[in-house]
Amino acid sequence: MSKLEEMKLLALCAATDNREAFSRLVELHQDALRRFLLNLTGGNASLVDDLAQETFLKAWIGVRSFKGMSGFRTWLFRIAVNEFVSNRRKQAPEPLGGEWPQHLSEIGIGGGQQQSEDSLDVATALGALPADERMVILLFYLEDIPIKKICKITGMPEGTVKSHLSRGRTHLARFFKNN
Amino acid sequence: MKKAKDTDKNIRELMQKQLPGAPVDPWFVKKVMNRLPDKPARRKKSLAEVVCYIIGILGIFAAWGYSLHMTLNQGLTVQTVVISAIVLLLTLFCIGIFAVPALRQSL
Repeated sequence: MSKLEEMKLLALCAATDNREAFSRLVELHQDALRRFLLNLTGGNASLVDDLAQETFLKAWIGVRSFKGMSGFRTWLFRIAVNEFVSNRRKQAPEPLGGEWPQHLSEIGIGGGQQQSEDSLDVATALGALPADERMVILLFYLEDIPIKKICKITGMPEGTVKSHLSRGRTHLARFFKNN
Repeated sequence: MKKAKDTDKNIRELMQKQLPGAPVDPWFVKKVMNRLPDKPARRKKSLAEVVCYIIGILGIFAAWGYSLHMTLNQGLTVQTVVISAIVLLLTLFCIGIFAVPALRQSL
């Protein structure tokens, strides 16, 4: 879908509360958003579902305040990050790296043992990173979002984002070297 | 610089290839749509509000009637053109302030 078509759908949502237009936006963005949240939460599928639904719900409620300065995807991811952070504040920290083996089988990862093990390695490496670094790493490498947009999504200054990327890269390299 | 770009490229490929995507959920969109708040109920207009709207509409018609009457009697003069322009602006103003929000609310 082109940017223009997306803006038309947003205009329909904002001006006339058009739910069909919004459902098309949800369909368009749900895969990327859920994938990002899945890897951010360490594979907790039920939490991902909740966070993703809350994100879209807040997007619907706040659609009139969306000014279109950044893309809709950037705005959506910003809401998702805020939801993740709020959720994390409410709950006790969990050992995210340790949850991956169970969650991978729950979400049906596997075209064989080797693929599961490789996925586990990358996911475990990611789970070992602090949450802020993991978030920046996922946005930059998995979602292919440029640094300036990552700054808007996370609310971090550019220097902090670059610093997280650099540290995350180093940690990942060290992890793969040791394992 | 090139080494850093290569590292980035390798990490990106590794992650995009090996990190899991979200499990397929054909009901996700429906779940989201079911959680959207209901459309707000249309506010009932009070009698005073309805009476004011009727007086306003009758006033606009009266103004157009007066403008037309003057134009027919005096022909196209500066005075009749000015009066017609004022009545037109007033009509557009009322449409913008009252009719458009009401139409939007009813959609």
